[in-house]
Amino acid sequence: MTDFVTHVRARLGDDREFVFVRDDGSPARLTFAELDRRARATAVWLAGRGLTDQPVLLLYPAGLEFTVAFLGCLYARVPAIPAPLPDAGAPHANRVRALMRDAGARLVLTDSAHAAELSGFSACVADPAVADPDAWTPPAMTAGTIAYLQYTSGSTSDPRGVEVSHGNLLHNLELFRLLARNTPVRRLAGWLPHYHDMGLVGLQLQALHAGADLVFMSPAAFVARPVRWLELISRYSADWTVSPDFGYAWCTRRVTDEQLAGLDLSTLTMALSGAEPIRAGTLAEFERRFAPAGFRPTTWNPGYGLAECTLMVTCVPQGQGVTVRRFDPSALERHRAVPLPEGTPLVACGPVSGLDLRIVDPDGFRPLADGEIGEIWVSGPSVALGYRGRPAETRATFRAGDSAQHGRWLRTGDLGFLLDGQLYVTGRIKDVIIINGRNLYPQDLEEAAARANPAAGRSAAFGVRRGDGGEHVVLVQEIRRGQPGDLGETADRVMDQVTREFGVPLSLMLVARGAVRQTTSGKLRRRHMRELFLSGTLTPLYAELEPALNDLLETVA
Amino acid sequence: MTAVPDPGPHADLRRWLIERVAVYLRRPPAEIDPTVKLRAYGLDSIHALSLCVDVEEAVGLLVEPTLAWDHPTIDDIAAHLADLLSGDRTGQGPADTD
Repeated sequence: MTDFVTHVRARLGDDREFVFVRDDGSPARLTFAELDRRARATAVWLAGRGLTDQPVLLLYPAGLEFTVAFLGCLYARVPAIPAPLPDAGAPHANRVRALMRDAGARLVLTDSAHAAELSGFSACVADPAVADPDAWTPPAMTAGTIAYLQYTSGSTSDPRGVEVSHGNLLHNLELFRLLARNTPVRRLAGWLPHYHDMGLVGLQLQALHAGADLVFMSPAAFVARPVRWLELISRYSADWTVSPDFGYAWCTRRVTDEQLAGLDLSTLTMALSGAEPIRAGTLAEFERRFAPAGFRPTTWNPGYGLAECTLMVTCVPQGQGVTVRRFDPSALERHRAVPLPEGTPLVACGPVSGLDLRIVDPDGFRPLADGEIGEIWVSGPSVALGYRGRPAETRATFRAGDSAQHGRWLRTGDLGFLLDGQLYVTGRIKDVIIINGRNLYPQDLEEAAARANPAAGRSAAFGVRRGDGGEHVVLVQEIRRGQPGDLGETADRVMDQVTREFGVPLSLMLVARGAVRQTTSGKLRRRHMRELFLSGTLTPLYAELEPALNDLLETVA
Repeated sequence: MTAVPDPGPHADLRRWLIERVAVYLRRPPAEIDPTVKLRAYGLDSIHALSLCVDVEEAVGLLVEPTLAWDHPTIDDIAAHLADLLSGDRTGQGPADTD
């Protein structure tokens, strides 16, 4: 079997269903058989418009209509592009336009509730009711056929769409199936957005692939009242869930004793954590807090992955629990993993299985030994085809090798090491900043900051790890000579703009012209700026630093 | 204490907001200055959205999810909520009932 559609259609029935629990708690349901019928009708509608092989942007709120539209695209051999519904305002609308331009998409699909507000993009409502599902004939598909484009890489101005094929998807979902060992997943529950690779593959497509029920809710409802996620697990007796670290931490902090008393998490056999660095403290605190509700420590499955490898690279299989080991923090900085009893705790992200993985010196491309920290390289059938329409970037990221010849390795841009057969992730060399499971791109932050300050020169944004393990945004911005007015007011304006646009607090340092370094070819040296900032060697004209960061810098000094 | 001109419901709102925000930021309430922008303490979008839910549940007002950015200090939020509440009583508040 070489394509996802054939695989899923061999498992249809009325005994499995997708249940979307609305914000008011009422469920909307579709059985697999009904999902399939509507997907066929959508595919007929798409094919009738001549859209075969033409990418289509899907802008949907959380819910079943997305699943129908996405499957309809797969059934019609239309590469789907799941993306978040844009908020009102120029930056979000520009993101949609940049995505469409990059992917060469001419059509936006949405639901009837959002068609009017998306009329600026000529958004359509797919109307499967007018199409005959029995008129569907499966288009020719192979393992190499593109299934969808995942736009979680790249900034707003320069988005990069990962081309995920049917073969990639089937291979990665097979890795998920093997994680469960002898107890296949029966019912998944979660809240992750469908445009997030972990929400799309880890929840929606995993459920379809495994023939499991999916019970899901909107991300906004989860953030507002995190207990609702645990209530889904409890009420529907779910056995699997997935979330980034922040989701588990948010539950531990927000769920009250009274709410806890009504929960039963004893049916859960798999709780995957991934998509951002996993903090040992988050797992331990969640375990302690929810043990009275029946949560077992063996339920954890810490993992590592990225959209460029469909989703998963490594993950701890069912029943093995968490391995936390401690390492000398100063050795970690020198890229060596030296065990130290009171050192920095790192969570093991599972063994290498079903894919090839090696740790490579990012400068010399030399494979490293166990315990040595380097870039994580991956090879195998889950590694996606490349970035859409970007042959040079695809070669640089997806075709790495020992020489300049065509290689078979994906450069993940993440740093880590192998020890006793487990992968540990220690940091990254790519510029992305991850906050609450969300990828932020420095270019976007820098661009927003420049908009707020007409006297700005170059800026560099980067993330720093705080003492509590969370990531924090730092922005260093140059001020041109002769800048009028008060630097404090300028800083205030820049910080207001960035916080409002991205919903993250930040630390800002205004510096003199020339202080933000570039390479000779004009490329911003963000990692170098980060080192200068952390070592306290930048001379600020004005600085406003988050309190937690001040403490960090004092420790360094 | 001369800096606090209004001892009415406004002061109650301010005290309640400080308590909520202190929980999100994991700081003692005494460290939260109601005149300082909340982003300076590290308030993020997750906290900001939860604060809106708190307002909805405890004060009975539906507020925009951008509350903490549109009204960036505790004092600003308290004044905004007080406005909404008084508007509610005279029936001239924003259409925020459903």
